[in-house]
Amino acid sequence: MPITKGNMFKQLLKKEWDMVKAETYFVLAAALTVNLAVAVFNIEQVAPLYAFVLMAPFLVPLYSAVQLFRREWSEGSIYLLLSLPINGGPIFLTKLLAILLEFIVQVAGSFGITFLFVYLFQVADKVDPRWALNFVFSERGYLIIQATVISWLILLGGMALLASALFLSQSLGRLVSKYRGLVTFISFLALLWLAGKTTIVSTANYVFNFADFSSFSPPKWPVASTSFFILMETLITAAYITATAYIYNTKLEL
Amino acid sequence: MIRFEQASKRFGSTLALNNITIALPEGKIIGLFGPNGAGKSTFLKAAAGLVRLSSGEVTVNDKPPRQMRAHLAYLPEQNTLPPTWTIKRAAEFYRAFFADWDEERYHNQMDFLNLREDMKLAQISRGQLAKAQLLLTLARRARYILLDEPFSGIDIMAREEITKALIRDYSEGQQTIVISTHEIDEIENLVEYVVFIDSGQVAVFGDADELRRQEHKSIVAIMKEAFGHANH
Repeated sequence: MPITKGNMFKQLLKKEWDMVKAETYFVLAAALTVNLAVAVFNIEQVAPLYAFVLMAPFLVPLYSAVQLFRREWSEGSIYLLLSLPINGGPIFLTKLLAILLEFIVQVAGSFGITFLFVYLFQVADKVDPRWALNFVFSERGYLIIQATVISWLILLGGMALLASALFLSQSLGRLVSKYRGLVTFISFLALLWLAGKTTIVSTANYVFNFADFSSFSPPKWPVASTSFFILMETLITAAYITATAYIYNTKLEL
Repeated sequence: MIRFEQASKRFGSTLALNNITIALPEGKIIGLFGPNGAGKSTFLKAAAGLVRLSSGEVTVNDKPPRQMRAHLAYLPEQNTLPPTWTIKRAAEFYRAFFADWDEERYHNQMDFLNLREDMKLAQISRGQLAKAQLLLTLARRARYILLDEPFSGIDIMAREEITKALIRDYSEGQQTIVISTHEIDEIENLVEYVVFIDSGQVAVFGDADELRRQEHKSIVAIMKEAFGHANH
């Protein structure tokens, strides 16, 4: 195998995916089980678990982000990482990508499975497929799809931001030997506060300065300002990952 | 050459390395001995660039160890591999990062150590895990090999296999191997140089044969004398 940055990146990403795939399979299996129980076997008591199925893809990746970092120490693989001839940039970028991949697969899987079961067992015989198709291609359908895509991108950006804040706060926690948990928790809250303030304030300024409010009609999504919001999320994520890599390269030790 | 210049490392109130100045000879097998808490692991970690010195300097081939990671193979006492991996998966990972990975050496050592590629790291014994980690370390033709307590918690049979595996592919003059261990008798005949560390300082350093001649004793006996509280 040739020694290239691409191969190294691929192996790192594969390593991180190996560490989060169990959680992903668990969420997908839960979605399938709950849907089968309710839709196929009519076990109504299981229905409240839909809340778990639809919430889990937003919570489990955050748990994974904590575990991805923590396990490096608890399983000793931090020795392996620190012995590699690479710096922290690709290490934390691949961790972030693994979390985003987990998030995408879990959301697509959980919502997809639920949608499929609801459609097949409750909607299919009541809705004319031609009507559904016409709706999708109507102006209203287009607006709904646009809003869905942008909402999804905001969520994806938010997940990236949260995961990067978790990595950075845990790195900061590793710099102290006492009160590590407290330092990690307080720095996480501080990073969230900073990200929220920066994103919301800068987006508000952007909207105030550049957006043409007269063109906003209620059903239309404010694409420009939400795109700016997503850009801000991305920039803050990049800053947090860079800071985490800097700490890894210059401060962390075993 | 691995060189320590007035190197000190403090962890809180503990001085793990205390102003050490030493240059380890190139291309030799060096035994690093000392009682528990003497500073052996910190010494090796500093040479591998895994701890940052409080003062002084450590260089490998005149460069900071972190810049030499492509040429350093460090084997710590504990497991460093994700438990969900198989030996094959771990080898695939190493291959992507180290140009000195030697496929033939990997397969030969695997046979020699009685390991199989499909062994899952979470499911093998401690001895097999130690051998698996040693396999991945020795499958590289690394210029510097740093082994921290490779015999810790390993039964006598596995220890012998590990010692033989070490000698098997050792390229004298081209590789420097530093082994930290309590089990001096296991490697007494293997080491060419010895470093005795106590309380973070180098107490004895020299050519193993010369020390034996001067003292008319084995390395184990010299060690016992140097540290009355040592394990042997």
